[in-house]
Amino acid sequence: MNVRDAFFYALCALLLGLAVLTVAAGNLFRAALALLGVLLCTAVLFLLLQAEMAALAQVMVYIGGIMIFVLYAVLLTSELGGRMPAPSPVKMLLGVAVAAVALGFLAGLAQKTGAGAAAARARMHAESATKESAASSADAEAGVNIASLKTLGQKLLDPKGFLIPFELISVLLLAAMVGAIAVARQGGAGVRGGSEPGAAAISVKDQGGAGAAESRGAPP
Amino acid sequence: MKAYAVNHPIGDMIRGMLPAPWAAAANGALAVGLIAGLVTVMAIFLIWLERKVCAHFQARLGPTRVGPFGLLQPIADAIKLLMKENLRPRGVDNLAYFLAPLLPITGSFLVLAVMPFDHDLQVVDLPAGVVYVVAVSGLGILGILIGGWGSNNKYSLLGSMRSGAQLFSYELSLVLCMLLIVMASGSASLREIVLAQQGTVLDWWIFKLPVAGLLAFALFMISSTAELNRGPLDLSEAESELTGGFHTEYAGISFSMFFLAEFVNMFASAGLGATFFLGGFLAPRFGVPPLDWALALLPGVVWFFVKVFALIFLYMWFRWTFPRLRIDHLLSLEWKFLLPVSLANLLLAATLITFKWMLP
Repeated sequence: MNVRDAFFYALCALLLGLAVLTVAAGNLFRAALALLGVLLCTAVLFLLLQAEMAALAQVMVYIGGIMIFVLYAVLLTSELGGRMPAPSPVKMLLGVAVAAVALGFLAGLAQKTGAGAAAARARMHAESATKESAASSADAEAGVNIASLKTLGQKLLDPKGFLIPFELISVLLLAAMVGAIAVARQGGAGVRGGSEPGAAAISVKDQGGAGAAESRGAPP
Repeated sequence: MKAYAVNHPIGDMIRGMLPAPWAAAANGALAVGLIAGLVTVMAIFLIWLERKVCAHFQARLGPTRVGPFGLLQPIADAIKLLMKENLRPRGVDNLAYFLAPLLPITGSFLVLAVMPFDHDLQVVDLPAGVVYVVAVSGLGILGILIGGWGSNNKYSLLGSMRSGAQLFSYELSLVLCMLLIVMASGSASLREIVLAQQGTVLDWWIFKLPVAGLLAFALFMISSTAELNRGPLDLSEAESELTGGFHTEYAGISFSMFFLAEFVNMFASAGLGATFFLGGFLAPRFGVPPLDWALALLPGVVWFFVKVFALIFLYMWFRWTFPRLRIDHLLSLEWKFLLPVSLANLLLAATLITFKWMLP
């Protein structure tokens, strides 16, 4: 076992420990911090695979973006030192079952890709040993740089690559944002936009519910 | 063949004195040591500069007693801060309270690792340098959020919530400005971005893209002022309303870590501005041969620092000239004005680049 392997196993142990802490921590904030550690360790795993861009995207999107929103939500909702109640046994059993199925599925996938990757490595070794055709060297180079910023960018905007899923995801995100705004505005919409039939419906629904505080401000 | 990413005569000399396996370790240690030294010295110097600039803006003299021109004043302040007890108020979350001050300084430290100070003076040149900068600068926001929550104080919590909203919003237009520069340079490596601006002063991105460059520079300065938590956009620590915002409860070395990070961040941000818009370490050239020859005599690192300090002076000028905004004004400035303008500017720049409507 060389240094690299030892580092890998130490990292994985840390990652798994933090992952357990994420679900086991009683305090919501501690759980979020543990999740932060898990995401950071995953980024280091990507770095070990020389997927620099994936690691950077992991840090940028998950740590710089999603975790900040998670922490923000914790700030708004959670008491300092407050403890969450333990989940019911049924929920725990369900969670264990889902985790077991996911683990089995991923193990199957890993076995299959592991065999494929070994074959590819053997093929690449054979090709680099002969070192003659320009095509094979270009292939090898593409294999090395598969996760670089440039290749990823070109793949994302290539009509034969991932252009359509990429654009579809942006539509999905837009829909999610509009939905979020609609949910957030339910209280205020009834007060302002009473002329619209949709808004009126919302305001009517609101009168009985949480909108009571809002409707006090404007006379009907 | 280049054994190391960065070659510099001094570094080569030190590496040459050591046997091969140790040279690589020495390389890393040298890089980390240099950046750590720069962080400390720069923070201390910037604190002095801030006090002096502020004083002269207010028709005062600023520190004059300790050392010549008061230059040793920040060192005395630093010693005072370090000697103070690192208080732990009752009821704080231990982990969060002591973890938070480390994160912002880590973020600014990591940004400096990709900063091109000179042709061969850069710790590492990442091909995705701009993405890296955006990624690690998120640590600063995390530190403020964690610290504000962990302090168990209403002012801190309010300050950190404001700051979360503010930093997250202004990051959008900041990233759009960076994207514009990446588009113009055709590379996301900071070194390549600088090298794409070779030529005269008119080849710097601020001038080369006719209107878009100047507009992008203005947007960059405004949104980075907000990202730096500096006045007039320093809502997260507005002392007149929040007594100090997210660092209300901090004292001693924990507080000085936040304080240090703020000044180092300003340096890093000005460095990015100089790299993106003002040709980084390139000496300015005006197309007049004797003048160009004379200006090129100074090494690139000097030019880098000249440009950086010009931008830092601009930040200080903002801070001591404009009154602080209100939080709702601040957020509508970003979402209703800066963001649409950045998007339109990106489109304009894309048109200019596609049709090559640039200055010759």
